Amino acid sequence: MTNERMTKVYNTRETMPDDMIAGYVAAYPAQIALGANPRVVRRKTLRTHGDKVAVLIGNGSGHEPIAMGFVGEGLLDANVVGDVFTAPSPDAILDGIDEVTGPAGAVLLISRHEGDVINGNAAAFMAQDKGLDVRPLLMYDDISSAPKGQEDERRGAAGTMFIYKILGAAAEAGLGLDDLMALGEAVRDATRTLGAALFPGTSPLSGETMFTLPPGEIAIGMGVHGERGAGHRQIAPARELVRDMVDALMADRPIAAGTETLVLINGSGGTTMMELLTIYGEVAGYLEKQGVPARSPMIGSYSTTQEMGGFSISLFTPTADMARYWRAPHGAPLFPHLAGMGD
Amino acid sequence: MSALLRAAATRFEALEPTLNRLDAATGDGDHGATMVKGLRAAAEADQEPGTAFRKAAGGASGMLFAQVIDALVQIEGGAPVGPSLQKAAQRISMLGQAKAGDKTMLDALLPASSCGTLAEAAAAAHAGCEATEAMEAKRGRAKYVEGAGVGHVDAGATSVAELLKLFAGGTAP
Repeated sequence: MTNERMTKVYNTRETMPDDMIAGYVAAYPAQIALGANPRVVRRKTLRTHGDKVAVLIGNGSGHEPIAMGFVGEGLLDANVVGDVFTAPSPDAILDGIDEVTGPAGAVLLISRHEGDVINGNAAAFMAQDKGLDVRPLLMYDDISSAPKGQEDERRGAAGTMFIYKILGAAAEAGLGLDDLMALGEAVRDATRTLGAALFPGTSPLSGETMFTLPPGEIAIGMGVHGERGAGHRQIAPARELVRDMVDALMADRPIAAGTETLVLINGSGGTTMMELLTIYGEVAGYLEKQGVPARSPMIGSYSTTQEMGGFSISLFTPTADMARYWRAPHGAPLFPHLAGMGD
Repeated sequence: MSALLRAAATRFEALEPTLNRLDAATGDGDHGATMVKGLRAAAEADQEPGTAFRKAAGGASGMLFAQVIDALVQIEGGAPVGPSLQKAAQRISMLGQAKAGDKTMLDALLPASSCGTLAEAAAAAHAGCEATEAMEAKRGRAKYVEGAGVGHVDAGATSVAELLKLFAGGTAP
């Protein structure tokens, strides 16, 4: 079974991440370059030799466009690309840090998953031992993965993209390392995400579907690798699903009437834009009923799990500075351009 | 040494589908593939086997199993069995924020770390691995699974038991 050809487009299983990186670099040679370690995808023109703080992340591949597609001016300085669903080694992450970190230091983003945390923290220690000012920032937002009150036990999910964009823009604007860390923590603490899984994708690792669901049932709170979450429920009209999910998000972190809220509707890879826009319409309408204005949405399949069907809803209440950084122009090839949109 | 690591790589190639399946019950189904990648690199031995394993395997397993590989290499070189495995277990516990009973590789490694010989350690690890079948996962992706993996032995504990069995066999007269 393991050796059968999957019905996916690839050369060999072993070269899937490298073949993908080759295509990305070929497509955007003016924006993107490879580091000395070819798993380090970095901005073509770095500004971190001066007073700009570097912002980077290492993560397993198979979830694109996150995070490789978000490398560019005003966003990430580098992404260290691991094997499929596998965190890069501390050594590879250190190569990424070495590639982009200058005198102003670096924020090493870590989406809270076991391997990413262990290897990210190890890489940060190794960099600090070399005299580099590198600070790890743990990101978590998925309310289904640990109860209220244990927020720092939660997984990183699609809502972490608010941190990527806002820290990327703020670093470009000249914020120092201490301020960036405080800003990243504040964005994290103002973000909550809940997802729903409709049908599985095929894991490039095993060639098998990543989970099974009884007919007519969906899973609430499944993680980005098919980890089970809060439980199953029957598929229902969009309005009903969205209301239950927004109620759960607002119960975890209430949003007062009149508070500007940025909404992210993320598709898991196999859910259509037709569905994602329907979901956004229901979310915005339901928030409006509670007096909460939805602004500057991001809608699309940005943090994916192969061709899995599903979506997540993230709600984030920014300060005025955060909202400005969110909308700031940027040069990352696969991140949407939000300036002037949806306000 | 590299002969034993090569044997381990071969043994884990055969075990790969089983380990992937065990891991798929609670995780993303790549544990066997990760172990094979790491052991093949460790057997090449153009650098420290633990370092080679860590770099090639990646993921949490790369960092955590590198501690076991380091300990086995040291034991093979004459270091005492119990203290070497204890040191590995302490580091794994610290890195992974896990303890006994969390349904992890530690449930095989910790019982082994109080043994005086590799043969005893292998037997203790095997028993510890079997005991993970009834445990609820507290760490890693397994904890998010409905039922927290109860009814499946832990893939990481299985790998620890298999490595110890192989290294114990290698030193038998």
